[in-house]
Amino acid sequence: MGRSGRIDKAEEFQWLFVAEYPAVVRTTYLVLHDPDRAEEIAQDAFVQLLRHWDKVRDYDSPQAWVRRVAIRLAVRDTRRERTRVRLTRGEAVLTSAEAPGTGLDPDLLAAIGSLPTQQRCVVVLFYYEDRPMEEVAEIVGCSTATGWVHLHKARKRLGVLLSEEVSSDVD
Amino acid sequence: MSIDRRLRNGLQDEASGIDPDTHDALALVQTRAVRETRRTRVFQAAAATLVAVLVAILLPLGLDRLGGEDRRITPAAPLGLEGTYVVDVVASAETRRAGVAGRWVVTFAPNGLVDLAAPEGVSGISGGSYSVEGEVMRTSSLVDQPGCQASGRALGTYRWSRVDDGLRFAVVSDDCQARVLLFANQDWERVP
Repeated sequence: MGRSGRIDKAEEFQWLFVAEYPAVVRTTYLVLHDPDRAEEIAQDAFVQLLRHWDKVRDYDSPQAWVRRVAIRLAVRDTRRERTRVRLTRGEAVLTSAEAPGTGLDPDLLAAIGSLPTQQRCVVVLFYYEDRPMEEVAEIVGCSTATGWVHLHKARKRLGVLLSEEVSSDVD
Repeated sequence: MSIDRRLRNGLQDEASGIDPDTHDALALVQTRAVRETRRTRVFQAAAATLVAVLVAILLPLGLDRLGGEDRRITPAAPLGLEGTYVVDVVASAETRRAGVAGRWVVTFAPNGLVDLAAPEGVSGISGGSYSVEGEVMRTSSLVDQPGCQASGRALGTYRWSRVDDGLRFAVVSDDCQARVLLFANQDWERVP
């Protein structure tokens, strides 16, 4: 491939980065509730994307690919954090659950923070990114049916924590 | 308000407070990607060199100890292939997948070693060794390529013949696809 081809590829990556990076940081933040860590993880995901750009740019949705990487890194990070908390015992509450939210509904954010990681990812991708369950499941790395199970369990638990009635149909 | 609506609104509000610096992050990501790619290449080159050295040293010894007539390489008796050849492997889906497309320069040394100069962009190549018995040539070239590392795939056997001043190889037996495409897919032209 010639010089112009390389420039095109680089520009293509830059366009995608500018368009998607803030969204990936926000999504990762909603999973982790740690803005600095969310930025680090989003950057890790985009470094991987750039290193595999020759291949991934031909995929149907490089955006979904980079989200999948970011979500998996966030899940791994959360599990590592849980283990650390378990081992250090003194800190009884997860960082994600105690992070001070900038939003207007701290009870809601604390309740989301208490969900198991997979459920939290599904909730964020489904409600915040407004993605269909097929895409949510692909990003999280489970079947669509399992994605729905995660969502229904999350809604049920959030309903209890927030004293809200939860209808059987997702609105 | 339903729980679903509360979730949508609450997450939107929370996320709206996050405003990362895209410009700085892009520069950081580009720098890190270059650095990590370079680090990986250095590691791969070191690993390939190590494999090539080990293959060149251990393979002839190991095969001799096995004692099997079919698997023995005798580097001291190359008989007739010595020289440097140019091999142009035509680019196709198959040759690209095997990582062999392009111009190769191959030297059969009198001491039984094969030196491979790979096309630009192809790395991690080991030359290996070769032996000749009559019109049959055995070689361990490209033993570190994907799909060629299993114990039964370390050696390829070819029938060779002269074409003008160059060489032509025909596969007798070889499970290493990259080696078959390099050796038997086209004639080899001798470099004067």
